[in-house]
Amino acid sequence: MKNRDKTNMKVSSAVNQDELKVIKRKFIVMLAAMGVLAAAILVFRSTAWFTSNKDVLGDGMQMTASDTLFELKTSGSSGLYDEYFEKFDSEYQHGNKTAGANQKLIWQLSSGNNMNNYWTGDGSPTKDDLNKIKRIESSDYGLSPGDYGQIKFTIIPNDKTHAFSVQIHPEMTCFRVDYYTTDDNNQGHLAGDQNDDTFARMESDKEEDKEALKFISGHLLYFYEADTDGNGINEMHLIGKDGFLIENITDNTDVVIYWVWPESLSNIINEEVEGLDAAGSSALKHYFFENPDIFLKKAENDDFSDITIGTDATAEEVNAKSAIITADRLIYSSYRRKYNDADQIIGSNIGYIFLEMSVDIAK
Amino acid sequence: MSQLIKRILKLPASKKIQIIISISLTLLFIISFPVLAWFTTQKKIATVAKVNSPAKLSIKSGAKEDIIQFRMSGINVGDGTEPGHKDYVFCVEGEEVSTYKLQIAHTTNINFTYTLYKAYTNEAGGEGVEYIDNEGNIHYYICKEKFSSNDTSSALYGHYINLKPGDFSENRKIADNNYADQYYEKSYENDDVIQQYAEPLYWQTGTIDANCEYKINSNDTDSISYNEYNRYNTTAQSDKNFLNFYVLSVSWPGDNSVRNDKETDIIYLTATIE
Repeated sequence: MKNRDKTNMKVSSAVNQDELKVIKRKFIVMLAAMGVLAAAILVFRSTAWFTSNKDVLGDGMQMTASDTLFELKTSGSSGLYDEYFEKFDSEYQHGNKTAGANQKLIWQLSSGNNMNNYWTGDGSPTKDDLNKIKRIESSDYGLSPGDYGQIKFTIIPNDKTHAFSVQIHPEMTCFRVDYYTTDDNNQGHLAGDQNDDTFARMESDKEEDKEALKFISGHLLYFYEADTDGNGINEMHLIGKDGFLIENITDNTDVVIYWVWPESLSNIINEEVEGLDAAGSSALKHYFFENPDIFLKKAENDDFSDITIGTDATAEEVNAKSAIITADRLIYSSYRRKYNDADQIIGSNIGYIFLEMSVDIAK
Repeated sequence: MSQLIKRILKLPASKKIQIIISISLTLLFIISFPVLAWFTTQKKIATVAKVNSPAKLSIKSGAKEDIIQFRMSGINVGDGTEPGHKDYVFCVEGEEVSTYKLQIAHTTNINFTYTLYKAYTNEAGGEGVEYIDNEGNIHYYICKEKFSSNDTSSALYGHYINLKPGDFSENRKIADNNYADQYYEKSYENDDVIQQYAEPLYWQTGTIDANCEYKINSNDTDSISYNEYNRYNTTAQSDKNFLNFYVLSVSWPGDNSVRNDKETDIIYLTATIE
């Protein structure tokens, strides 16, 4: 009897021990899995800490613990239309500088650093002034063909011992505005006057927005200055869709972006665009012939393939295409009219332009 | 603690796997946010700019009718021995514009004299230049001030820019074919001599203010605006819609230099934003 019990007990304990071992094994596996996971997380976090900058920056009244390579700084005062940021992208904040959680900064403007959106009168604009400016018929604080200027900002490296490069890239988002008439004289008032804002973001896949967006991308252009051929002279270059590169930043770097809306086609063909230097005007003319359809409004049956060139076309080819356009007085005037018609489409459709300048670390 | 462990261990395998997966996913989420935030070092600055609406300027016929109703054909000068004139009404209408210039270009086959007047609508009727609109209604316009070439600083200054200088036969005004070589070459490509009466004369005003004012009687205290949308200045000055009327008077001297012989002139009216 005892023997059997003992055997039984031994068997059952053996069985229990086996079970226990299995359970223990599973438990160990589970613990190991979680341990591996925790280790991976710790490795990530510590790598992040190693390669980021944990300097505490003291700047006058501002103390920030930042772990980014640079900040952007602008100076001046608010633009006239800054209140519309709520509608365009509410993440944008006022201030002189990006810092910490503020990665999106509203550009502060001063005279010479604006897109006709900075108050040049005395003191500050009154509410009455603002109402008048925002009316459809006001043209003092808006963009028209022939306008040009500059906008500036500064890149401030957080650690001046580590050089880095940035890619800067402008992006325009356009908004259509509904004006309504209030009286027989057809005086259009911005709906916002009556606390009823109607802004519509324009999209390139909407039929009614397509043309205006296409033309604003051709007519309102941005340039930067750089000495790319090493001759010691800074020349203007057209900023393309990918933006442009500034390399080897080790100290506070001012960035100036030149914006221009050529008044007429003859300014482009004659390389006499106000606001641009010779290199910029030449680059613009080349760009025009690469993409005539974003500059000119097509009439029926129009085909610009005979004046289109490739991106690496030579100056002779540009001149040859230019000669086609200017050959005959009537032909030239019809091309100029197509440019003006494109301007008309822009002016009649686009109400406001939201210009964002993205600055990324260049890989 | 040991009780918790026992309870966990008692769960079936599938449940254990689910717990492990859900805990690890949660932890991954928590950790990944700050790591990703560190990876994206993009900063942005932005501004908002307004695009102006294109300005609008148009020339219309009297009574604001479409320009197609503006007709100057068939002037009857009788036998040419009596001086006379015929008046035509047109208007300039605009939005978001407050100053502009006018130009009249005409050929000189017929020895007419063209005079431009600033005018206003005579709402009372009965007096002034008549304009009969498309529906037969008669509108009256008073010629108030005349454009002349006397005073270059006057708001009413208007002059021919390419009048041939010196004496010319028959007291005719004709164009000066030496006026501006660059334009001459572009307009008349070949070197053939252009018939002198076919070359147009260009008459231009200075800058015209759409909202300038007049007094009906010179001793009136109140001024009235030529801008028919705002005659009594009831709306604010910054509003830029306007309507100005003009009378073009075509006159002949009555010295037989203009007769009813079939001659034709072409005349162009142009308004430009200034």
